[in-house]
Amino acid sequence: MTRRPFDPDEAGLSGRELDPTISDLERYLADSAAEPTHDFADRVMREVAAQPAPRRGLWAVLAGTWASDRGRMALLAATVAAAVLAVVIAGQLPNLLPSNVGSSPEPSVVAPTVQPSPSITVSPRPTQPATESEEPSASPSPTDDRESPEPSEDDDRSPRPSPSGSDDHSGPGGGGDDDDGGGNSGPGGGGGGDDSASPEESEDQSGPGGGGSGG
Amino acid sequence: MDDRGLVAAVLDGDHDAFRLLVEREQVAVYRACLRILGRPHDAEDVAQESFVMAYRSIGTYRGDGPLGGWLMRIATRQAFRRLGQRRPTSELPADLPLGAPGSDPVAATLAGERQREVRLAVAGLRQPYREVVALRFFGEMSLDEIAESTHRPVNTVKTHLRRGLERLRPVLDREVAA
Repeated sequence: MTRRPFDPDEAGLSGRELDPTISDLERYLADSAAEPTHDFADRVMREVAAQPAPRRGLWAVLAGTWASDRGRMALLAATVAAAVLAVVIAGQLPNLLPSNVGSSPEPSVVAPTVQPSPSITVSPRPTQPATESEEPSASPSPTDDRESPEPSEDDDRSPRPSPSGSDDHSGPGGGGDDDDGGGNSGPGGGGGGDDSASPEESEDQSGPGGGGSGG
Repeated sequence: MDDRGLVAAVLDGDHDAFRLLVEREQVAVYRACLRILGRPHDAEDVAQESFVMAYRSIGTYRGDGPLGGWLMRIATRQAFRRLGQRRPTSELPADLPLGAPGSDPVAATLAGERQREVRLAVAGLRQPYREVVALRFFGEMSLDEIAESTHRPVNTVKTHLRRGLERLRPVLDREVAA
């Protein structure tokens, strides 16, 4: 016997196509209308007496969750996930700190960028004998002013200054490294890009700088 | 004593108040568990577990629905969980027909088989249809009580119930044809 026989209208069932299903369920309910054993309530209360007092609020939620095996697993999984998240965040801290700390090593790194430039000044030396050979002809200094080719040759030798320009470009060459560094420093932000690039430049340029000093 | 007063008394350490709840709801909870599990011993075991679990977490009851419905949700969840932990082969031997034993063993066997089909068909429903069908039929709750207990609008509960029954129909028809 059911306490509330199902009425199809209560679920808005207009058709009768579900009647066999409902009758199956109703018959099952009628067959299974049993009652627990007489001492069921006593057994429950004995079990309840062995339990700690129920709690309110968040503690009740945690205690209720902890009571079941699945809830216990869920709590453990949540704890592990929180620990992993904390480790990941802690692991990213070094990536965040250099953007602020790296500004101090940068000046020490700028000095090595100047060191490769003397090594480049060696290349102008062969060009200097050529200028010396021209010096006798150039002795008449007025001709220098007249002869436009010489200055033009000097202009052609402007590749010479180009090494000196390369000195300047050594900065941009370092700037290329800056680009790399800037690329890496991108996440660090625009203003911090130079700062954050400096430690990586220091690693890249210390190699060539050391080679230059060794030469 | 109304539900809120009963819960407050239990939280204050009054075990007699919880006994009132057990005595008031034990038949409904036991029947719901029996209808899901099909075995009286398992049903009593899960019903007892459900009461103990309700006692531990009674502080989470917010009073926005009937306490019996809140308890019934715990019991049906526990029963379906226990059913899911069973091995498929363990379903057959103890699947005796529920209710008064008839004189015809063949009819009793067929009735027991049909009960098993209904039980497994409901257990095979997806959520939220399974919960609504189980609460309505196995827990014998009204749609209003289900709506309050599950914090869903009544029309949503009606829709879930109708769709659940629609999904049950081909399964049960197929079993009959087989």
